[in-house]
Amino acid sequence: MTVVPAKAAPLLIVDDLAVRFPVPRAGGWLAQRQGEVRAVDGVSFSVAKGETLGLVGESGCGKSTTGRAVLQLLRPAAGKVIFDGEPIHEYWRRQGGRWVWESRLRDLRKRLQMIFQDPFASLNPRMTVEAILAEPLRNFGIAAGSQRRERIQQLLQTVGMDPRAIRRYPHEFSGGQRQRIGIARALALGPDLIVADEPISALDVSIQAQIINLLADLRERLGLTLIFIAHDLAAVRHISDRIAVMYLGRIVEMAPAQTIIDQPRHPYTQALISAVPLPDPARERSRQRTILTGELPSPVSPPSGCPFHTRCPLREERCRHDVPVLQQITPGHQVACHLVE
Amino acid sequence: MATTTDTVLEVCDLRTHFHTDDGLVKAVDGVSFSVRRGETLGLVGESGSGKSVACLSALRLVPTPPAAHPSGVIRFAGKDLLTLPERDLERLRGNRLAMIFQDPLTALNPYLSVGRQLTEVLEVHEGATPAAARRAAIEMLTRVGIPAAGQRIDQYPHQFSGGMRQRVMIAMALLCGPEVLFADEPTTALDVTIQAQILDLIGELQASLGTAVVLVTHDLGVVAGTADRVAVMYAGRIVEEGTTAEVFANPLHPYTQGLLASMPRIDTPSRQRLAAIPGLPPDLGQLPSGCPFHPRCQQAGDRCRQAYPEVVIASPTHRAACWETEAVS
Amino acid sequence: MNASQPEPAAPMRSSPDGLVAGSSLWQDAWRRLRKNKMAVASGVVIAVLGLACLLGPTLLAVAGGYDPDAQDLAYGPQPPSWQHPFGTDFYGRDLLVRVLAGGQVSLAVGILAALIAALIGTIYGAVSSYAGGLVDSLLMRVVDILYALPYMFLVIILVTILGQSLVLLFVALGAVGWLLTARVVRGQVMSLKEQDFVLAARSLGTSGRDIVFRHLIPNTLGPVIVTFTLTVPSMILQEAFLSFLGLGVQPPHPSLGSLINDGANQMLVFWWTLVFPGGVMAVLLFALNFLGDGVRDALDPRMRT
Repeated sequence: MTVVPAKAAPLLIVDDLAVRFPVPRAGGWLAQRQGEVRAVDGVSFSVAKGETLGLVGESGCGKSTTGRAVLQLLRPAAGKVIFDGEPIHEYWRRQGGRWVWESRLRDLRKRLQMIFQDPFASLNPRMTVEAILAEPLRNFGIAAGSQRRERIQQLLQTVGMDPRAIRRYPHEFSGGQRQRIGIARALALGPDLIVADEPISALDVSIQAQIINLLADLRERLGLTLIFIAHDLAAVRHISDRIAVMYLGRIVEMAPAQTIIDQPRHPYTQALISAVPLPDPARERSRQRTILTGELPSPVSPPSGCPFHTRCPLREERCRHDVPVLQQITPGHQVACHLVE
Repeated sequence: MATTTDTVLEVCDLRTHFHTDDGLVKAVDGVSFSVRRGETLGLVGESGSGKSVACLSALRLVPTPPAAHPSGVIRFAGKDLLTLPERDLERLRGNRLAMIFQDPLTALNPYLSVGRQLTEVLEVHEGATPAAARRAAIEMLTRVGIPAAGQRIDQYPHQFSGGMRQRVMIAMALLCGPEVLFADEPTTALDVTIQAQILDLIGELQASLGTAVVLVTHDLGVVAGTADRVAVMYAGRIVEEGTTAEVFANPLHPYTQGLLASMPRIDTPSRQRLAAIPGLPPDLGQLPSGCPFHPRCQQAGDRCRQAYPEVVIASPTHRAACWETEAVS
Repeated sequence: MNASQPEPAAPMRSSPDGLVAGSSLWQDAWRRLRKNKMAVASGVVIAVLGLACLLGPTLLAVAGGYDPDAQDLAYGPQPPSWQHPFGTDFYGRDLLVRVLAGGQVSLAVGILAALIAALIGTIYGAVSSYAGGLVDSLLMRVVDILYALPYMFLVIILVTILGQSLVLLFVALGAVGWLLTARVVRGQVMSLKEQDFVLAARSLGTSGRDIVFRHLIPNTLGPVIVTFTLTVPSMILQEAFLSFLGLGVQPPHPSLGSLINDGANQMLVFWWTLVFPGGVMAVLLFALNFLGDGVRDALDPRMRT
């Protein structure tokens, strides 16, 4: 596998990204929209061309929302998303009270793609495999007739599927095969950046490795830049060059993949790593565990100060009041914690 | 496996078949295992391997139809659970035999307060008075780590978070001090940090109550940390069985070997290529001939295509069903 | 890649061009429907009744000179005989041909009114949920208000205001029958909008119009068809009720409702004037309802993984 040169120009720069969702309060028939969830708050990172960034965290930490906001499938409430030098977060306009894409943002779909978590929900059950894979090509008028079919069959071969299967429907395939179709669809327009949102968590154990290997192969072969989102730290570490750990909408630690595992500095990262079960009875039973107490706070009313202080075994008084900022402690290793100097 | 006096539950040659539109599906096909007092048996397999159906069948909770009545023998407390009259079985379920499920939200009644559901168990099975039952319920909720149990007991399931609901389920399951607890993917729906809490909790309670646990899971990591013995299931049968140390150190069956090799782990060198098991789990409606794993097995020979393998015994506690593995052991 | 050619989950059937034939959810539903004996039997009954109603009156007129409206007061009401298998009514008209002609009207009213209801309901429901927000709230409150009003009362007002004609009857019934379809479609689109395949389509650059027509509407058709098949019998019943009140199809033209009304007045004396129209009506409604249930089960199998 290639090691990404540290000085490669970033393909994607995310700066102080925030996404907020309105929370409708129960009420009359014209429910007033009050309150909001800060699903993502002050997230910054960059991804170099050909690099894979892993985003890990538990449910509700904002990792999927971050992925969608990067692709502009959600409009960020604040912050910048610069893709290949273009400030794509600005490529929106208001139309009839709603925010819609400008045409140049629609054109960027060719370069920005997504792989979804649930291979059952992400494929239209009424469409054949051919119609599913033809959709992106049709949208941009790429290839037609027999050429289009050839292209579709090539795509299927690329993801390790039988190209004769184009007349079949999603429900005729297993989860792993559907995920391959989803990957083929994301590849159809020849993208540069793919956000893979929990692409393996709905799959069987023996199939997960197949899909991870496929993504790794495609990345090498097609020179893709990947943002790999998952809750499974072991899988993320396996495919990523760098890992960002998220908690309650913020990045709490970011470092090269091996550094995160070997030298986690944030107490949450440490707890997360110690909670990953090892398939090795002797080591699993002998290792020192940090078991967190308590539950994930609701993102509707996040705690003051450090978002992790309610569960942190090392919390101090200042953690309740001051929000720690993400600071570089060694080159390439950033942590947001008051206790790490 | 020799039946010792400690054995609390013994399942022999359990078969559960479903009649579906696509023909006969043998979800569980000749499964045998036993658990001893205070022991944890990990029942490992992928979706469709029959691990959950095996558990549900042991408690006769599989709806018939579509399933045919399970065949085989399930010995518990000197009785065969499969032939026991339904009324006698009801007296055992939730009392001496308990079960917790993957999704606590669907397993709890949304219209009854948590307290009602807990005290009902005690009142029905142990004839406790309402006041005594309530005291016991609050005590159990406290024990499973629910803060302010005295107040939360009157809340409804949706007012609890996922991890807390699973704790409520565990409290309910353990309320009558069951001899056997079936835990069907109890932590799959939970985040890893919560999973660690719940697994610890089950272990603690098991140690103090002496409950035997049948832990159904797809996660070999969970098994490694909690189970004393492991049974690996594939296509409705147990393909390998042994103590946890034996199975992880010296997996006999190519499927077990494949599962272990294909798992991404945090304690091995990074960015190695994963050794994926090729192919797909079989369709239970049309199983391949011979060993059901042979189409995905790199060691498969002619015998594997023709007949189901005989059992290879590696130690008194460790065995596997494979034609090709005898050379290895 | 050691897993480059995974086996298919289901057996592959090859079609002549070397591609593997798929089976769509529609084809699957059709297969399930054909396995449902009650539904198939009901379908046959409906087809036979429908054909008889459609062709019967014409054939009988050509072959035997039977005219559903020709009165022969001197002949009067006669019990069933070989010449008049259903007997004749008070005016000496052959009851078989009148029942068939009445069935024609009832089926036409039922199907057309249900079609109008499905069309209005689908568009209304889809627009409401796709627009969302305030528009959705307002449109659905209109539905709620209409639901709350006495349904038959509305139809009666409409028929009284608009006058009594067959076309207006369709419209009046259809115009109040769409409420259920609108709610069903709205609910369906609401949940579909949140599905990942709609987000996937957006991320592929699919336009809003294509999302509605290629993704949302094809996925609402199942429930719409189910609602439609169950609306037809209810529309037939409504028409019968209106005719029973004298607000439906006007004499001398028969409909099943008006025939039953006539028969009910004379049932103690001339039993056949109630038994035959009533029997045909009952068989038709049973068959339509069983078919509707069968279609629902075929389109919405809970077992689907």
